Amino acid sequence: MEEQNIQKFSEQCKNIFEQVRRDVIGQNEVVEGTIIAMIAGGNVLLEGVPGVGKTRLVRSLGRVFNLPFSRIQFTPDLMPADVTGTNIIVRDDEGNSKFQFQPGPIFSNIILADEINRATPKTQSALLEAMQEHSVTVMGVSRKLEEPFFVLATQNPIEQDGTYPLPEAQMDRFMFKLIVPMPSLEELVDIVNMTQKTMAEVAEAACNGEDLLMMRKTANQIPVAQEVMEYAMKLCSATHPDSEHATAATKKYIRLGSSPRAGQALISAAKVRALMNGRFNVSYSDINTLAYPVLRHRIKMNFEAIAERVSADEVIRMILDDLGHNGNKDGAKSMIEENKKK
Amino acid sequence: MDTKKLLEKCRSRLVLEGLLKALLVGVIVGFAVDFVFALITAFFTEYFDYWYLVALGVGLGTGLIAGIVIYFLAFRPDTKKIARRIDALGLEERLITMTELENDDSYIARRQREDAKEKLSKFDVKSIKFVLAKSLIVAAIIVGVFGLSMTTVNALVQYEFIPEGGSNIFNPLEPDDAPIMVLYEVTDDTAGWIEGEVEQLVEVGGRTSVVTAVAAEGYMFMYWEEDQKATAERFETNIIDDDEDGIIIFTAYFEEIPDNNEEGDLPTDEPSDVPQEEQNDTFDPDNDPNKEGQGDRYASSNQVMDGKTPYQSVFDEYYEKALEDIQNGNYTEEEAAIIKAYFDILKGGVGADKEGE
Repeated sequence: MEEQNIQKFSEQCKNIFEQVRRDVIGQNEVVEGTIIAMIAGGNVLLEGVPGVGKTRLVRSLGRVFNLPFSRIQFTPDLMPADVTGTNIIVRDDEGNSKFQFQPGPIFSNIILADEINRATPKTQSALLEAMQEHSVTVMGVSRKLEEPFFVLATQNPIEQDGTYPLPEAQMDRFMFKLIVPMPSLEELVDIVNMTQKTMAEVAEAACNGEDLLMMRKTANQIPVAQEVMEYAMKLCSATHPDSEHATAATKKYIRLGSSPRAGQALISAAKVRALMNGRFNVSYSDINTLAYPVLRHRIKMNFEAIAERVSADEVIRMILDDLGHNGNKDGAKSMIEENKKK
Repeated sequence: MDTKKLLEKCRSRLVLEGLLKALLVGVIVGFAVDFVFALITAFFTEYFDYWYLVALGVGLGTGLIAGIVIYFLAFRPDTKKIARRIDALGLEERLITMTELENDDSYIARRQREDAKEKLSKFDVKSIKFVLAKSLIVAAIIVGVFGLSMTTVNALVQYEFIPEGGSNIFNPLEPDDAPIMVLYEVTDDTAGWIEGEVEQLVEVGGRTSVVTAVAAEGYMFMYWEEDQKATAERFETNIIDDDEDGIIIFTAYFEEIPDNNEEGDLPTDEPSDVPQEEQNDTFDPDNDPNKEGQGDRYASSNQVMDGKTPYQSVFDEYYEKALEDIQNGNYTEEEAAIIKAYFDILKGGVGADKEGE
């Protein structure tokens, strides 16, 4: 059975990538990151300028995973009830009035929260419970959301007028923040060629919700060596300026470090990445690669970093360099570092 | 297969590396002890002759013990260390995970082990390169040089190749064998001058070139003030600067020749027919130079010997003979110079006499 699951996992991964590739050209890291997060059960925040394919990617994933898909266009006048749903008065067969819950668009498996930072904090916070507990409470009644449940949100980094930056609590509920870059020249040519033929999305279902949950379960079994686990946790701890593991870069540029959720996200995602790469254990390279999408939105930069225009990614790279397993192609150096630490 | 057995092919290489590291640490500790011991025992050489051997022995012994201890404490590769090392060379933590899951019989653990074994079977042991910390090598070299140097110094002292510490303090600011400046001067520029090099820089124990004090007209050379030497021509051998000021000065002293014409006849070596009493009104019979026991004061009348033979003729005879011998090469250059200088002294007196004539 387990053998079959593993076999199925790799086949489905292959199919998922193949199908997504039919709709989305380029953006390999974003596609991989989003699929990893979805298999690991995390929410994803996609940040990029308009027109780089954020919404298309999410829609395409909805179809590939063959899951109900809701799109919520966040605007300043959007109310929490517009997201969660509300009780409305209806008449029953006997003509009596009664409240009946009308589910909002959040009652779906994949939620595309488009331009999430345009909504007011009150509306944004309507997603908090759904993102973490996968449930919605309206008028004192909690309702479970159907599994698997994901929020894939997009935001534009350029436009700041009329936007409300996401609060830390909400940011922390996103497993990954993925930066969607501008396509390269070759990719741009391919995109234009493809859309000249048809704008329609052609990706087909590669798996369903049950398959996705099974893939998550399979990936969860991947073992993590104690040293790798300690390294991942040390990395999260090193983002705190007051921590004993804080590096020079942390103390210089970071005001607030990551929460324990970052550690959970890092390990869950690393397990999926390892299995996707045909490995049955988590490696330092998994942790190092995933450190950027997991940590970049969870650390708050201080004034010095903003003044020197040091990005979160640069600080993460500095921390990884200091911890000694980053880009480790020379085992010898690593060994010395290990001995030094010991 | 057992995890340890799987890693066996890499173990020997890492054992060798561990031994090399331990050896370096042993060298550092050993030579440090050797240096300290040799430094301390350098003060007790009078009690025992072979301190250098003891220091070397103690250093080697300590280094050996330290190396062995360090190897077992720090550098001996255990299974986890080997796994960690190979993982870093591209196996992506497969082996370290495998060692941890050694006793896990779950399906995923078994799959992980199979995966790790498969990768390990393709692993080239030669890709494990020896890694020795540069700081360790540098430290070993520095401490080694110090230790060996101190031991060598002790050994050289014992075999008297070099003096014992403290007996020969070398002061680079005041070198013992600095050259000495020899100056030849005159007391009065109008009375005479020096012919030859008046300033000569001579090594300690060396010699100067010959200089001659030449009297101006109306003056005669008397002597060199420093040593009362009456020879006009001189040179110095075995130069030693007694007062250690680096300079030795020789000053030629001249005196004006008294004007005899004002008093009467010029002095002559030839005997006078005129009795002494008549020659000088102030003749004092008690001071008669012809009288026995007199004659130490220059006068033309006492420039004869045995009452009839003039000194000049005897001088000329010996002088010519000496010159002939010199020309024939019977004397060395130094002896010839001394002989010439001697005759010059005599010539001074005789010359004055002749000038008087």
